Amino acid sequence: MQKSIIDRYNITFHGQGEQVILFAHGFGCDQNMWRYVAPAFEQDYKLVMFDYIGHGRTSPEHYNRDRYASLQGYAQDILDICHALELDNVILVGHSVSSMIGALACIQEPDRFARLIMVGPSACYINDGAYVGGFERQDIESLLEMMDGNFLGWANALGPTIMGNGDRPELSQELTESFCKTDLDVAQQFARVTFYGDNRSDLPKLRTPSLVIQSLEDVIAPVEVGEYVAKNIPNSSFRMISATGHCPHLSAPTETVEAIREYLSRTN
Amino acid sequence: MPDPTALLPGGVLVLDAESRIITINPYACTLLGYDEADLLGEKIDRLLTTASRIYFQTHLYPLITLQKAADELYLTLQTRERIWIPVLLNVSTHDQDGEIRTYYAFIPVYQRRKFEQELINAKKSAEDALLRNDELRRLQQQLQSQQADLDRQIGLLRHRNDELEQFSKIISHDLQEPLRKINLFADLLTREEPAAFTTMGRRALDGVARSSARLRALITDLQLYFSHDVRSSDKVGVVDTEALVHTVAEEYSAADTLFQVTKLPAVLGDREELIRLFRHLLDNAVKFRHPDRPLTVQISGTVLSVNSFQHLPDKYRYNDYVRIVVADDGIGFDNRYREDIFRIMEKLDARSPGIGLGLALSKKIVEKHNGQISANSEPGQGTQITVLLPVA
Repeated sequence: MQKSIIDRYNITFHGQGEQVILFAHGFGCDQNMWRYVAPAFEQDYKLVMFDYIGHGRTSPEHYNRDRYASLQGYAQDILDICHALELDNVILVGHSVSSMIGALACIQEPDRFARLIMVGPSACYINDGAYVGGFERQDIESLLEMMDGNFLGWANALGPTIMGNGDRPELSQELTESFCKTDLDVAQQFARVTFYGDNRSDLPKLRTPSLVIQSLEDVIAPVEVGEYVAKNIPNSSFRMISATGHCPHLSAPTETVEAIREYLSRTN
Repeated sequence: MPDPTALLPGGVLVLDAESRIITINPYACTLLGYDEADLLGEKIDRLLTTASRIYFQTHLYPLITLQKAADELYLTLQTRERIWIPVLLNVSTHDQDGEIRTYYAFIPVYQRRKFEQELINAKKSAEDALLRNDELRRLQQQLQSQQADLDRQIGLLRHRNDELEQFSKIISHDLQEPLRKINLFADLLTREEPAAFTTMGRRALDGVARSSARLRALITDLQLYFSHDVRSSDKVGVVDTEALVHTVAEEYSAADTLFQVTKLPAVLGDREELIRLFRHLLDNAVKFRHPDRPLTVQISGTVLSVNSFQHLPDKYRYNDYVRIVVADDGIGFDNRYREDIFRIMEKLDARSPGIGLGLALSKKIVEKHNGQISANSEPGQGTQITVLLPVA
């Protein structure tokens, strides 16, 4: 059971502490996203990282379109991992869409999670009446088209034949082991589920104490969107950091680490 | 020699660590309709369509940061006049005296993009057709095997039902009859002169009376359990669970017993059955209260999405259910038994009243509603029973 779940989600373990921090990556990348932030917690925590099915080093053969037709299927991934590894009192750190996935997991099993830390969350990306999510449906359709273009011209074309390394497979191997590898079908359904999703009604149900880490300038989850999330979750803190962009854990790891650490020590 | 990027027939862009433009060549400025001065210090987002901004933040930025270089990326730029320009770009990142610089070289690919788009569309429709075909074939096979399965299950269930019906008859009639006779004879004996018995004989007679009373209670409970109809009820409607729980709680009200009912969402179900369900649950909470303190039972509810397939593996359909948690601060039990307690005749404490039918019946009622029931407990702390019922 444990072994199969570890292979299935390419779970990796780091750190010497007792309490578990479970890191969940967002749309577009894999667990490598956490490599600048995670080492800071190795001393005091047990770190668990994974890739969603179809991302990183997981095999797309485990992908199930019905399961991943909503964020619930992804929340089930987190719960399945916690069950198989018997993780309790977990600090869950989710980036981007994994903030909402994490919230759904915490709502399902409130007793399993001690804290939820959301990096750049949004409860709804599409504008809806007075609510400003930042995007229109046609923006998302263009995004899906762009993903098509990149996978034709990039992932496929970088395969062994075009690179002319057919006789030196180790070179192609190196290329396919690049970061942030995702399966196109998986990524496109993930994009739809993420950007067309609306989790605003789930926010008040969250009981786990939570922190929203908000970048100063983030085109994907602007400040108002992060504030909306924090305001509508009971028992939630809001922390603005001066990082720019949607990936503060990559662009400003020190500040991100500091925000997480400060929250954990303050609420301990 | 003058700066070659000034005359280079391709776009050159250099960004700092915060994705602000620090160099842009004349080709790029002309293409995008800006003066160099308009763009210096601006964020790259200014030159991107909305979709490209998402793609940049979610895919390109992480990739470039972690991998330091990427080739043949496709992105759509946006001119000052909001005209879209598809471009192909190569990127590399360098650390120059502690400053991170990202170099972009790009060319517009109007024509190629059109061809590519057509290729993608053709590939997609071919794949779709193939997939649909494959999918249909797979589903057909699945359906056939499931139909065979279903047929076998129906046969099995019919057989089981017949057995149960017979069993039920045996309980209600065949077992009752000798029991009635035992009672009758025992009753006759008790009317004898007390002197007619030895002390031993008197004790044995009391034992017979006690045991037969217990047997009668057992048979009544068994009958109740097995005659409980598992077929779905035709009296299903919207049930105001909050009002219902309040009513049931009143039946158990006592000076040192507190029921805290918070807002409960309405469910779809059979009212009578649900009353019975909550009666069993509250009855248990009251029965297993802690002897040293007043009893508090908290009943709360939320709506959440749950996979409605409970038996077939790898099948998913998430539907909304109401989760109702009945939490008491009673004596609790060892969590090892959290599944056993729903089995009929399973009693953790032999001294407790009843035969341990309540939770088995509760499970039956909940499953009849296509719901789920589970328990969580800690000795000395209390028990939490969680019920999932379809939302109204």
